[in-house]
Amino acid sequence: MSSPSIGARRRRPVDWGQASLNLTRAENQTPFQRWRFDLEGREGFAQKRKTNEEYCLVLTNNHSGTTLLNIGGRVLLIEDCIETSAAFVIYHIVKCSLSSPRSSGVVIFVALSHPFSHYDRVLRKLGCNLAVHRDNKRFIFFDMLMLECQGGNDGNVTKDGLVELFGKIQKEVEVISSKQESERYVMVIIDDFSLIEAAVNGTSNHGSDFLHYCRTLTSEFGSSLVILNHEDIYLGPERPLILQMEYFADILIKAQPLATGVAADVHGQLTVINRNSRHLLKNSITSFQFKLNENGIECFFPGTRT
Amino acid sequence: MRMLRLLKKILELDFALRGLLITSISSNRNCSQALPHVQPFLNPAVESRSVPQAVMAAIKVPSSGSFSRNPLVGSTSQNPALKPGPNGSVFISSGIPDLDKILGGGFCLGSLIMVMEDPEAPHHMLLLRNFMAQGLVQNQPLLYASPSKDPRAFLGTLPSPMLSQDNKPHDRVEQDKGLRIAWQYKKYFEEGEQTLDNRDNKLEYCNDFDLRKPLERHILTRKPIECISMEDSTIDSLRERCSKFLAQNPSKSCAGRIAIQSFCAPQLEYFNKDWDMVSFIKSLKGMIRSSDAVAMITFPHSLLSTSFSKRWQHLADILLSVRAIPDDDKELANLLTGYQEMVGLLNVHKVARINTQVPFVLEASTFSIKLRKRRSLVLECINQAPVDGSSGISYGTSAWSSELFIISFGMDNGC
Repeated sequence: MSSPSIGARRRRPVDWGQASLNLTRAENQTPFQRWRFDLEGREGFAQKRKTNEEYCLVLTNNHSGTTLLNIGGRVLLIEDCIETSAAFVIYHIVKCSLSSPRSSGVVIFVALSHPFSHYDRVLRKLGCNLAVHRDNKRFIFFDMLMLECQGGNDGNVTKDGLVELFGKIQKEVEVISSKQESERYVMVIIDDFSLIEAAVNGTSNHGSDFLHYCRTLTSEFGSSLVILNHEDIYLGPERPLILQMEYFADILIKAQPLATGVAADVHGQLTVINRNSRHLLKNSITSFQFKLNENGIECFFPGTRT
Repeated sequence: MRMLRLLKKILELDFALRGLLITSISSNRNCSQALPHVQPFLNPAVESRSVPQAVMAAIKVPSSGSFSRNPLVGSTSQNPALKPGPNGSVFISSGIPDLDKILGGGFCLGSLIMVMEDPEAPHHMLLLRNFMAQGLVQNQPLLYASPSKDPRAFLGTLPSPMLSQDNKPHDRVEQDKGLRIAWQYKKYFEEGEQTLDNRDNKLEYCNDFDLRKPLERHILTRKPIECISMEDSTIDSLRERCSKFLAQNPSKSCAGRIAIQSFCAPQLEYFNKDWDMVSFIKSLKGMIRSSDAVAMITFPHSLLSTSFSKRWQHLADILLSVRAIPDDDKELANLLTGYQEMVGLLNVHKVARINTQVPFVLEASTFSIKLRKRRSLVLECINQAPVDGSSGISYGTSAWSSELFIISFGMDNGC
């Protein structure tokens, strides 16, 4: 594996459009919430217009409420637990990246947990036809459901499988970046990282090596990296790995169940921690609750839904 | 004036009903027999026997998404062992009718079911037996792996499907009991009965099993059953056997079932190899997902370290846990109805989310496992015993009266 050199971060003028995690608000919300909402929203919108060369993913946008997430060239870590799965965030990001009319982003999807048919069905209901995008080379799918990295008879774990996988990803990123005719922007998505660890039999370094190599792509080609992982499996001696991942993630999204138990109307809560958001004045931590539908996600601030 | 009259009528009805219930409870020491009379009308979805047709209709015609297609509608008419579910998934029965209902239709093809065992009681065997017996009755290929020396002996303990004649008189008695109050619902029961009769002639999607009667010999010998003793086989050989088993049954109509009992039992050679086991489960998951089979693994989760136990649980598509309840716990006996019949508790932690992002929200996550007449396995929502009628105004009684209010109002409208 040739070690990728760390180059300067390049920025390209790509408009990510109105990629949004639609936030529906309850009708009867108090003026206070609207005020808070508007403040964040306006700020976000203003910044988006000004810094058009940034690649922005607008999270929670409707009417005027917006939380701006700039994921261009950054690392996004999504954490969940047994009670609440955060796979829907990945589906949403894929949908935002592909179906926004003005964007020409390419998604490289490393799937370990489901076959293509699953993603195809889910995304189709969200309004995005993955099969078409795959034919148009905008959605590059690596089916790693059967990824095994056990070598031969001696039972030793080899990292060949992962090296090969990274080689493929790197090649795709290079090919896309070398095309000059369109300013294309690449996103690498890994669903999910704990299965990569299982595939290499937990030999600690191979998994995290793979992750670091993928990370170098973000600095070398300005692509972004989205990783899904489970927070509750890293206990005791394994804890450092998730801490490392949290450390180098620029954006951290955590899905948790409601403290009050399971509900049919609220499926859980999301915490978005947006680090070094240079344009927004503060390190923003946004927390909201969500309900999943077949055709989208409803997000709302706690207490705004009746 | 009319309103007043209506209100009076409602109140009268309410009191009459309440009086009736209290007398029936006081005459019956066992509250479990008194409650089911009321339940179907309070909450039709809870009562298992009264509305199977409605539930099945709801499953067959998914309401969400006008463009969802069911490509299997045609094929299932030939194969009663499979049932089309929402989002293009296909259900296969778990062997326990109530568990199928709880999970919205059964186990999805291609899903991995993990059952967390109670370290002190063999309740997971109940689930495993019914799961395997259902597959054999429907003539599906089966692979069974167990830590015991002679896994084939376990096949002798599988339950036999109950004959419909055994079941009917029992149903009828219950039906007569249930219609003491709201007799106008009788017609719905009869309709349900008729359709059930019609289905008896064919192979059923899900059988009721008689736990006391062993499965007949000819069913066991109809198809080769692969039995593996995990004690003398390595994890790699187990993986190979599984993949070979799945490869030789490529036909989509007849899904294979894999049952692995006590996967991380300490007597096994790979007990200490945590990562090998995780990797095995991961690859098994991949294999069954791509070959449309179903696998059930039971494991004593208390033997694993917490972080590995969590890893295993994340790998499961459907996650259940079983727990025994103490034999004579007076406090619990007072709190729960039907405590005498209860043998344990079943928790549903996770339901498969195949081809969808929407979680399946259950009405309750804990169910009581009961052995009715010591032979059929029944899962029920846990009912808290009503507070004694003599204790005056309490939360329990007030909740009752409000529910009864709804019925009486409904009856008024009907008149």
